Amino acid sequence: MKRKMDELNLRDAFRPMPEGCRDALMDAARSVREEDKMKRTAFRTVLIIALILAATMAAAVASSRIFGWTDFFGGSYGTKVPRAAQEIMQHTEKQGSKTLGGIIFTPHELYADKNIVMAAVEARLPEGEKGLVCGDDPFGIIGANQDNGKAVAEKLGVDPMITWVEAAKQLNVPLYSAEALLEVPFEYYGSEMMSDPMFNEDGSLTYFSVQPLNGKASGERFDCQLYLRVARINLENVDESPSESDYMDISIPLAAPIEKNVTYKVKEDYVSYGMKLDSVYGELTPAGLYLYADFTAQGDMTVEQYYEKGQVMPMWFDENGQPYPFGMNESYIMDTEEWPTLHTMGMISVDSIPDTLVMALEDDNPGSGEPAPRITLTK
Amino acid sequence: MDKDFFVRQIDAHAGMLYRVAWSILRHDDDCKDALQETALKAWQRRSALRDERYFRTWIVRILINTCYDTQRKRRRTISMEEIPEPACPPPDPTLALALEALPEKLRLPLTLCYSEGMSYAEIARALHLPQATVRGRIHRAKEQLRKELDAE
Repeated sequence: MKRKMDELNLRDAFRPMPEGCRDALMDAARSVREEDKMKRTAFRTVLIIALILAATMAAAVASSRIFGWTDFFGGSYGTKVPRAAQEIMQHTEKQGSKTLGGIIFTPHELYADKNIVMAAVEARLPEGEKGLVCGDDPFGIIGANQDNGKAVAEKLGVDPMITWVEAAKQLNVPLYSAEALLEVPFEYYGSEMMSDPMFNEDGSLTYFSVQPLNGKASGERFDCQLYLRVARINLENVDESPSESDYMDISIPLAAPIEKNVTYKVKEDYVSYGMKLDSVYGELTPAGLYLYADFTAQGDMTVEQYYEKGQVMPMWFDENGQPYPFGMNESYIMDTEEWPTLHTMGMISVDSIPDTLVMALEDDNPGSGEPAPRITLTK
Repeated sequence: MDKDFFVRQIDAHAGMLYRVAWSILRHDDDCKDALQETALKAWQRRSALRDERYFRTWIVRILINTCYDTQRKRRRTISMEEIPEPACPPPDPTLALALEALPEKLRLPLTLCYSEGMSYAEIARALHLPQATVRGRIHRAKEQLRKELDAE
């Protein structure tokens, strides 16, 4: 007999907490002491399951060059790093290095503004040490990192379709899994972090992480941490490889917006997916142009009905109808807290503010949803 | 945050913490370790909790990270035979099986929402996901759960 979803009590899917678990938890809680020192720095969470961008990377390996953000974004959605951001990243202040588990971590391209913080961190073995350094998945296929992975496999002389573990066994060298993830203070956290490694030709690794912020960061600098983790993989018994982790404090100059509150005129009514466009304004930062568009739900459409229509979000085009590349902050915000008003925020990659923009509120999933009308907006 | 407040909060949220840990680890010994470690880590990092109203979201985030660490330390693959049968079955075993069949990325937000009553915004903060993603995952989780239950 079919069961009705609204009659289900999900808590009934769980048995009561066993006494042993409750005792362990409460004993630990009661064992703490007021005088126990707090960690000097604030707790920053780590996104363990990072959004993998591997499928979108297509950078070529250049001789002994350490990959940076322009390589990372080079093949990803056609996203480019605006000139102003490149300038900032290339002049990243030295943050020093930290050695953990036999791996030396050195941040080399950092960027922060109130909406995003980015870190490219080099992870390498000390001079003269033999071994392979892979990212967070030693069981990943080397060639899965597209051109970068294939080039590395070729340089190592192994089949790109084997895993890092298999490669290390074949080459008879130690294998290290290393990652360096941004952790930001709780009060500035925006949304899901993206991270991924690229493999440099000299055997080192560049670990990239992008953490969207909530727009509340202010002042001259943004202080945060890198969560570093290293595991030397036991090639004989790969299931049991304890990892070491530590934090590294970093401080990044907070880039100020280049131009704020640029309003685009909405000269005609625009309705798509039952949402009426109210206003559009932009803010240019070194990392790209943030576009804020507000809509109002028509009729009595509920927020659930709106979400059931799909991943409906504003898409941005130039005056010739060509889509703008996504900005480096590839997350977008759909804020429905003030429903029936919908606040959206997205980023496009441009060096300056366009005089004319074309917008369509449409389903982000290609080929799905109804065709959306477009509207031309001018400053 | 003083110790009394901390212990009271942990006590009040113990059941929820166990269910979240179980959703990820599905093994009581691992849950026990993760819960213990979470309490100790949380106390050590209490300065990060600027507003005590967010205790629940904050502790869930610490727990989830700890569970993932526990998972990594554990053997990479555990055959079903290795997962011990719980001593006491859940009140609704059919629902439990259907929930188990969901991938973790759907099971966890669904549990936080419908078992623990967390808002989309709280879940988004706890799981490090945009709210839109949370909504989407919960929507998909409900659909998949319905299919699992229909197949029973």
